[in-house]
Amino acid sequence: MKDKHSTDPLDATIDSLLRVQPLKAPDDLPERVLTAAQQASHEQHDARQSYPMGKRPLYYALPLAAALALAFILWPGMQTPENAPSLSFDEAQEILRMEASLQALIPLQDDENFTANGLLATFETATFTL
Amino acid sequence: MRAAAEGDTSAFKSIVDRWQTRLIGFFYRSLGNRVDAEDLTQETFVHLYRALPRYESRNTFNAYLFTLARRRLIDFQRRRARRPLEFIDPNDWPLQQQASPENCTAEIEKAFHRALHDLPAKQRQAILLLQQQNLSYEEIAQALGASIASVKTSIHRARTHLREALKEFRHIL
Repeated sequence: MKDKHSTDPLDATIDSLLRVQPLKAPDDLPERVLTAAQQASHEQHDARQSYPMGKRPLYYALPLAAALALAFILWPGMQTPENAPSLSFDEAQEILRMEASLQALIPLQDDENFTANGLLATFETATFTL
Repeated sequence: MRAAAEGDTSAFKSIVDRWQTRLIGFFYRSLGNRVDAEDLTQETFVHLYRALPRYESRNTFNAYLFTLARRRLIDFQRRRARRPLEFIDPNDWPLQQQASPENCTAEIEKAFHRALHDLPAKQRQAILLLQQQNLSYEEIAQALGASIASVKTSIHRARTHLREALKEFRHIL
């Protein structure tokens, strides 16, 4: 590519301008780099020392949070809080009767003569029973 | 390289010695500022120092070093984008210490620098890595994280832009 353009003076100038290393590195750059690199390395090492693996706050945080969440989900006491309203005997009996009545509707699904009027009549009967 | 990776400081210093001028040249041409170029060169070598123990010679060292350099450049430009704009006087652009005297006027150099600065970052980096750093297309593609075809396109566009910007000087060349 460089050769292809070198016949044109403009391209040759561009190539030459691109190729030149415009600045000399300062003489003390290697020393400065080494000092900075070693300092960065020490800082990294110190940071590791101040929080060794077992003492890093995040090291235990996530497993602990997961264990708490699991305990919260699985513990039976958490699913029915103590201050939840309890059912009276009458209310519980009503629910059981309603459930039995609804179960009685199941055979109707197989009945070919099952109609809306029939369903209403069945509901009416169930209401009177309650 | 192995000695430097194992913590031999004199081996690392010889890497710095060998590559510092090239890195400064790359950063200076990318940013137009000597101080920033030196700072980024230092940052790149510090990153290299920390990364050397994990360095695997899958790619060439050229490509590896300029990948690190490009990342520093991107970080720097992000940091700078968050700062208020600074006025840069084009008169500050003339070269401060010429490594090798070139037979071109300061005016062409200034126009060239401005044209290079106006290029999209990818095109500027691609053409600098090819012409200034003598990297192969494959190495440039690795350093820029791009395909070889895209690198070739970027270089072609960059050259077209530079030619257009410098065409007014054709009569004095």
